Amino acid sequence: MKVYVKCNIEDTCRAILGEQLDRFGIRYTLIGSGCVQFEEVISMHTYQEFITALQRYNIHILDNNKTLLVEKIKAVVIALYRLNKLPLIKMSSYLEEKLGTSYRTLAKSFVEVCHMSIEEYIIRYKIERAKEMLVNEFLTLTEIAHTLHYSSVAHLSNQFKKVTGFCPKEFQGLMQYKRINTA
Amino acid sequence: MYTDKISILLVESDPVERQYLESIFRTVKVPHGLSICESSQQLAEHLRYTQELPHLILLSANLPDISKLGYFKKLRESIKPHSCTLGVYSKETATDGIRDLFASGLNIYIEKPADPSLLDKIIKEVVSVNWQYMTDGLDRERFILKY
Repeated sequence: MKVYVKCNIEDTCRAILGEQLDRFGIRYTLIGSGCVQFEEVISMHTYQEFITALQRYNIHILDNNKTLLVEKIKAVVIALYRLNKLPLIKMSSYLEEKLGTSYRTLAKSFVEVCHMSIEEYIIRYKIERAKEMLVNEFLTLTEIAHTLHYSSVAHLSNQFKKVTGFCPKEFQGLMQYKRINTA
Repeated sequence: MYTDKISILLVESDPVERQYLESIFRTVKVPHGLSICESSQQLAEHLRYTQELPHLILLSANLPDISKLGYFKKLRESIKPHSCTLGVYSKETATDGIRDLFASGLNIYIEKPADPSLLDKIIKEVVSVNWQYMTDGLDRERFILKY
C-alpha cells in the first residue's frame, strides 16, 4: 500500500527542535520560525551533541550571517504567502522594513547564497505552492490564482508553463498518471 | 539542508558533445562537482560502487539503453527519488511517451535547442532549480521540468 502525506515543514522543524531540546534537558524558547533562544548556559559538549542530533534530520545551525539573512528573507516570503497577507507596499520595501536592512544588501546576499534573485525565488516558490495545491489539495486554478495573488488564471498558467514547461492542468494530469503507475 | 556543492553526473558517449557540455558546466555559478560516464554500463558501475550518489544525473537520450522501455524505472529503483534528480536531453521533441518516462521517475526532459546559448541557459537553470530543491528540502515527487 502507498499513501501520500502532506506536511508543513516549519511545524515539523519546530516539533523536532522541541523534542531534541527536551531530550538534552535544555531550557529554551522558540522564537518565530527557525530561532531558538537558550534560557541557560549549556556545555560545549551538549551543544555539539545537540547539533549532531539535529543533523540526522537535515536541520543545521546557521552560523553564517549571510546565510542567516537569506533564511530570514525566505521565512518572510513564505509567511506572507502561507498566511495570504501580502503587504500593500512593494515587496522590496516590505523586506527592508521587516529585516531592517537595505534591499540592495538583501538582494546581493540572496544572489550570493542562493544563486538566484529574490524575485526569481518568489516566482519559483509560488509555482511550487501552486503544484502542491494542484496535486495535494485539489484546488481549482481560480482558487490557486486568488490565493497566490495572480492577477488572473491566465497569468498563473503562463508563469507555470514558463517555469515548469507544462500547463497546470497538464502537470496535474501527469502527476495523477505518475501516482497511478507507481501505486 | 546545507550542502556545499551539488554533485552532477553527466552520461554522454559522444566526445564532442561531452566536451561541449563540460564547457557549459564550467560557467555554472552554483558550486558543483562534475563527473562523467561515457556509457550506461559505466553509469551502472559508478552507481554500484559509489559511496555517495550524485545529486543530479544528466543522460543523453542517444545512449543505446536509454530508449529501452523500463530503463528509467530500473535506474530509479536503484536510486532513491528524494536524493537524486534524473534528467535526459535529446534532439527529439517530447512525444506522448514522455508521460511514461516521467511516471518511471524521470524529473527533467530537455529538448536540445538549436541555439547553443539557449542550451547554456537551460543547463544553468536546471542546476539552479536542483540546488533550490536540495537547499530548501522541496518535495522531489513534484520535481518535473520540461524544456
